[in-house]
Amino acid sequence: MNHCSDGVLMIRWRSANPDMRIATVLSSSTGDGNPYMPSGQAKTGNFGYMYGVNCEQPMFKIVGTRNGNNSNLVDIYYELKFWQAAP
Amino acid sequence: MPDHFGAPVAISRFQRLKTNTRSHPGRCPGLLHFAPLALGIQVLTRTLHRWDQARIKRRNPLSGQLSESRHPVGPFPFNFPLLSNRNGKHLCGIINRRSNNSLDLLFLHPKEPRTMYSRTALGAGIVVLTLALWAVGTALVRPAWPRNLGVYIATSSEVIPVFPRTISGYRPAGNNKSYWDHRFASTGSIRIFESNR
Repeated sequence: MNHCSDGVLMIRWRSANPDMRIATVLSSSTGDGNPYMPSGQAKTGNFGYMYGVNCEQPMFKIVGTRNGNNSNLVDIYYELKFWQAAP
Repeated sequence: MPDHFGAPVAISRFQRLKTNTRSHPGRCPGLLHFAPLALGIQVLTRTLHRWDQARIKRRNPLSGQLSESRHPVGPFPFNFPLLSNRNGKHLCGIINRRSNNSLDLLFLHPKEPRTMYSRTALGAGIVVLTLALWAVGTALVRPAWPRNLGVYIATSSEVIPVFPRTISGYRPAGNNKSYWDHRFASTGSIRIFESNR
């Protein structure tokens, strides 16, 4: 039993800058010292939501810009909801 | 209780009424509270041009005596000061048909019943239509939260589904609490920096 059903998480998010391309993924710990491994294929956009288990966590990465935008940072506004295991 | 004539109308008078013609309960909502007393009478809604041969009773506010005035045969006189409503088309009242086929008009509702009925229906229709459009629009624009775990991309904030209120097998953690009831900011922002990793 890996206890990955102890809880689930939900996250809604959006980028503050529509010119930034944000890759998102749910990553999980490998347990061997390496921090996290993506548990699925990353998806790119400016708005999104994720649904994962307590062994996973949402991750974000800038993968590019649009419209000649030279920014190298971006804010992500998020809203999280955690769920605990219940009967 | 003042009636349309500005004179008090004794409710007990209604109990003495016996005979009636067609009834349209529901068209005169203001009279519905008389319904228990009106088992022997009926609430009528009629166009005025049918209200010929009517006798109109009113009570003198000073002497308390009832007086009658006979309505002339033919179309209702809209300039008749006691019975003309604002629209001059319909009046709502309680009548008593006499043995000589004349009508005693004992109470006139100040509101125009057909217009009121139509407005009620129109208002209800607008509310229903609005709710239907809202439900359809919400269903089309904002999808439900997915059943499958995973990562999802939306095209705008409007189409990001809201959190469900319940999911099977789990209960929501408290506000700003993690799975383990530790404090955790459930709303906020994070800043991401570009990197080569």
